[in-house]
Amino acid sequence: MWRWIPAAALMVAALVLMGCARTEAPDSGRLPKYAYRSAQVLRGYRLAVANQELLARLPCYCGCGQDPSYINLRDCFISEDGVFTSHGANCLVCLEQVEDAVAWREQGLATREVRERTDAKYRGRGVPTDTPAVEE
Amino acid sequence: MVVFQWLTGSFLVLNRRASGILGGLLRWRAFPWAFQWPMVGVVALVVVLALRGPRHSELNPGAAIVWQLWWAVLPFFIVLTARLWCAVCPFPVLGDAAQRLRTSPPPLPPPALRRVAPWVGAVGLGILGFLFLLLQVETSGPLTAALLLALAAAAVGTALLWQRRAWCRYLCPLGLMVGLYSRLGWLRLDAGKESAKAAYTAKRCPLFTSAVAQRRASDCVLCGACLYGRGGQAVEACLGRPSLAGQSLTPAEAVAVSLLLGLLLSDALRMTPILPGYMAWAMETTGRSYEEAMAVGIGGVMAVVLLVQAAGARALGCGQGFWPAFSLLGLAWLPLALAAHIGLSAQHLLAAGAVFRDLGAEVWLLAPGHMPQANAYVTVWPMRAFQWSIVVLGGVAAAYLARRLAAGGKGYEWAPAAVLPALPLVVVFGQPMSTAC
Repeated sequence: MWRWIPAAALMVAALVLMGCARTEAPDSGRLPKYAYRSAQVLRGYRLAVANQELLARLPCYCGCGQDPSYINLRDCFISEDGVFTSHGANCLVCLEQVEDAVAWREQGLATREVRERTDAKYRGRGVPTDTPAVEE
Repeated sequence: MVVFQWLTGSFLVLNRRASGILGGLLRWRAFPWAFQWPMVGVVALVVVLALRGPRHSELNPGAAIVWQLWWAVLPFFIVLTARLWCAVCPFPVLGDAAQRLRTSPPPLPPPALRRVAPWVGAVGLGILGFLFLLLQVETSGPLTAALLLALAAAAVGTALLWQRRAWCRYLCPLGLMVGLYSRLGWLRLDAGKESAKAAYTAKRCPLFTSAVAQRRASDCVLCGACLYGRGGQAVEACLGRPSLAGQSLTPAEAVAVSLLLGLLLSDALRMTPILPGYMAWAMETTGRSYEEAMAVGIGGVMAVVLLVQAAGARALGCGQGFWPAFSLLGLAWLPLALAAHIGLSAQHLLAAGAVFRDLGAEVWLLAPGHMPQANAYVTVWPMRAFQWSIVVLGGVAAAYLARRLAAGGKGYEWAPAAVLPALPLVVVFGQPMSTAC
């Protein structure tokens, strides 16, 4: 019986240690742990880090607009003071919006056109954030 | 004492009534096709919804119906009704229809298939489960539709090759899983004292079994075909406490139990903060892609469980040989696997509430939209208590069963390996779980 105890203890310790928390900032080059929840979440956070300026000009339609601390789509991934937020890891609407926005940008669309497409596709889904209009 | 008599008396009356109702259902001439054909329509609708809806399950009605509802309800259904789901499963009825289109009846499954099939089923279950977790099929409408269509095609293809329902009996990975859990189900067809008469029913069974077969708990789908014609009157529907002590598993089935436990542990890990922790570590230290790191994680968990079973079998054997001991340990792990599956299903049902609320908002615009939780790992404490308790109960049942099997006087010894997989499961189910996968 005793030969099983070290193996069991090792397995339990490994599981507990793997669950320990970690806080990261976008400029550290490392993503927070919750960004690794799924392949789609990871892709969303990577795109958010690489396209912060674009996302800051787009509203989020997931319903987070009810919370005044959310001003644009970037806030769902990275807060105004430059710290990652976990909201995007739990919201498939935010993730789909990021994927769409970056895909449209890669097609050569200007920021205003990406905004127009975002509004057209996601309008009515939830209370949008109060994001200033794109003038350019 | 009066209360005890009242309780037991009430239970016996309830049991008799339930047996009568279920027996009546099984003897109904229109059973099971009266359920199967409407189910074909439901599955067709689900495939259309899965293909036409948004990509992801949070907003995809097809994927949500399959994974948040059907898959979550299934283990509870098995506990009450054993393999009755397989009787109303829509895929075999498509195979039956395809068989009628043939000009001559197909041959019986060859003996080679019957020998190899349990291993095909077990390996199929492992591969299907591995791909399910790796590709996160439950979050994808197109993949859900593809899986349903593939199962339908396999059932039809097998029906064209061999007689009756060879797919359900020998090859279906889901049938194998349901069959294993059914050993703990309460509903069964039994011949009682008239087993000699009931033996005639074997010729009519679409799954090549009978009400007097020792393996009826896992092979019988309760379709009721044996209730008609010669010997049928001897067969009755019974409800009662299951017992695993007199049963046995084939080596392939024991491997399937081990793979199931590995898959369930991986699935549970996926819903806790443990998975992101492992993925971050694995990807940053090895530089591998998400899919590669995930594949190693799932494969590693499955391999460890299999190795623990193998090591336990060596310790348990006492000169009886490796495979008999391996199979015995698989049988002892069965209650634990079912308990873990029920724990995970409870979490999926909790998520289903949120998913269908959001779908309702999407479809009928009942609400302007949802505000996702800031931390989806937070869940209600009664759910966590239920999950944790059910897994602990499964571990206790596994230990009890292992001791009873060891006390059966067949030369086996009680081994702590019988409860070893319960330890990581208890730890994982003690973690906060995500309500959205």
